[in-house]
Amino acid sequence: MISTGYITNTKSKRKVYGIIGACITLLVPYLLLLNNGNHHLETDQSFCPFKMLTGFPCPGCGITKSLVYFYEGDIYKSLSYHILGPFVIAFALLTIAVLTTELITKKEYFTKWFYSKKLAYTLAIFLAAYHFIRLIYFVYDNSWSSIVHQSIWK
Amino acid sequence: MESSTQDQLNSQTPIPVFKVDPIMVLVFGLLSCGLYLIYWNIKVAEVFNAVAEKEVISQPVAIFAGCCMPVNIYFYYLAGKEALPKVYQRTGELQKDQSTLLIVLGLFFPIAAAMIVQGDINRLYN
Repeated sequence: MISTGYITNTKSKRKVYGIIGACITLLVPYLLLLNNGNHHLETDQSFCPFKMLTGFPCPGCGITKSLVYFYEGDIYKSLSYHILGPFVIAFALLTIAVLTTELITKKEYFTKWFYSKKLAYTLAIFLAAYHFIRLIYFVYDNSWSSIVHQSIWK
Repeated sequence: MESSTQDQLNSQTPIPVFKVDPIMVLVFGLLSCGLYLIYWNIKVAEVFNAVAEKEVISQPVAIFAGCCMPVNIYFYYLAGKEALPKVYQRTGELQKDQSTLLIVLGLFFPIAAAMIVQGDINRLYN
């Protein structure tokens, strides 16, 4: 038998993990921004395992750079790296605010939206369509040798 | 007595069938440039939730895991810590915690972590 105390404790723990994860998501690009004096991020090897292996971008490739340029105030560049970059910042801030409020008040808010299957699938379809279009442009804009150069096999 | 409890557990919730050869997860994942892994995350989350009879991995987490590294790590943490032990319980295997292995693999080679999870899920349908 599982006690309700255990469930509450697990839920609170998960919320703390969620807050930590959102803070890391916001903090890492900021630290990269501080260390991006000569814009070396644009030419550095990506740390995405998929990009390193194949040279092609994964659905999430460019989000970190998008966040870095968003912090820098270059919205156009931010959106060109990943259209969902600014959305990630908004989502992370919302997550921190909602989860902190939930921990303090011991109530749950926006569960209808956070666990909405319809919203999640809409986002997945949008992401898939965006990634597909991005891949077409990527192949059109890059030669084979340029794609290989973006992987670790250069 | 133990087997009757197991049978009772097995008959409680219908488990969605998602049986794919782990090699095909690798092939589809590479061919679709990672798009297949978003679909895979959603289907695996459905299986895990049915096996655990509670929402272990929510749909938003499953979808975001396909495009955001920290969420992907969280996905494999939940899979290894809470979902896979329930799968092992159903298949009658040792209920070991695979979270460390899956987090490390998820960080460096997510497709390999997906292949391991798929291999374990496939045993549900044997």
